[in-house]
Amino acid sequence: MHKIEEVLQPQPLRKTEYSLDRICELVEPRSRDELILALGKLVQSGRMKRIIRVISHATQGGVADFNSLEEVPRVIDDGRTGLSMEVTPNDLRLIYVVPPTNDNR
Amino acid sequence: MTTDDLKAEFNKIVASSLSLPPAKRLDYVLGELDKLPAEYREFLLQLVSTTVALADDRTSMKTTRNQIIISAICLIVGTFLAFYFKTPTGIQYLFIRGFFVLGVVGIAVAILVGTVNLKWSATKSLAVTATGGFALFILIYYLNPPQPPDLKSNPSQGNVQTNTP
Repeated sequence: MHKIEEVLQPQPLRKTEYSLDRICELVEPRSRDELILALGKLVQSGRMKRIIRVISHATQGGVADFNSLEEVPRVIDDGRTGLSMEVTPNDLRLIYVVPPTNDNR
Repeated sequence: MTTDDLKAEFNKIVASSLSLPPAKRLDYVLGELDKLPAEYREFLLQLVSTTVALADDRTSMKTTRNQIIISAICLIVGTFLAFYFKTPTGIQYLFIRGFFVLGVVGIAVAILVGTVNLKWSATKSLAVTATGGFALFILIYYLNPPQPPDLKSNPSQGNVQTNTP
């Protein structure tokens, strides 16, 4: 847990986003499940947030972010291509967000 | 599997795990996720672990308990040896101090939350950077104990109690 907190230090004035794969590269955990559980504790303690990002079929870029799975619609407008896309589980990514150090929320 | 199916699975796992005591949730969640297609397992585990307290503190509690026990033994051994050897030799002094510091650091690391970062220059050519328990070990080993007063050569000073009325 200490290593995760060291690696995911808040940056001044800007939030930092990490995917699970990126955190795995930085932390080099013994197991991904243990890392996921530790990240879950950090999210629940309020030290970081998690969002669900819908990824574009066409560009693989982020289309929209949601705070919960319930908010994810079946169909979403892909602003990058101007087309509507049906959201499947394969289009969802969970992103961990570390707020900036001056974040007083 | 559609997104609606994923939502349904997620809601079912969250609702069921919340009805369980915290110590049993993780096993239940992992068991349920293993029934799902492998490509969704990790995503759902992330979602569930950030939604429900899957307190898997059993392993860490056991490790902490063992650490405290071993550290306490080191501390007791160090304290015993310190009083047993009135005038320890160099090697005895090294072991006594090592046991004592190991005991103190082990208990401190087990109980206290946070990390210690230490950048210490032993000599001009030797610098040590340490973190966590190792940093505490170096700190306590080299900064503690302070030089004791020379009680033998100057018996009139120090903790001499007199029973004068």
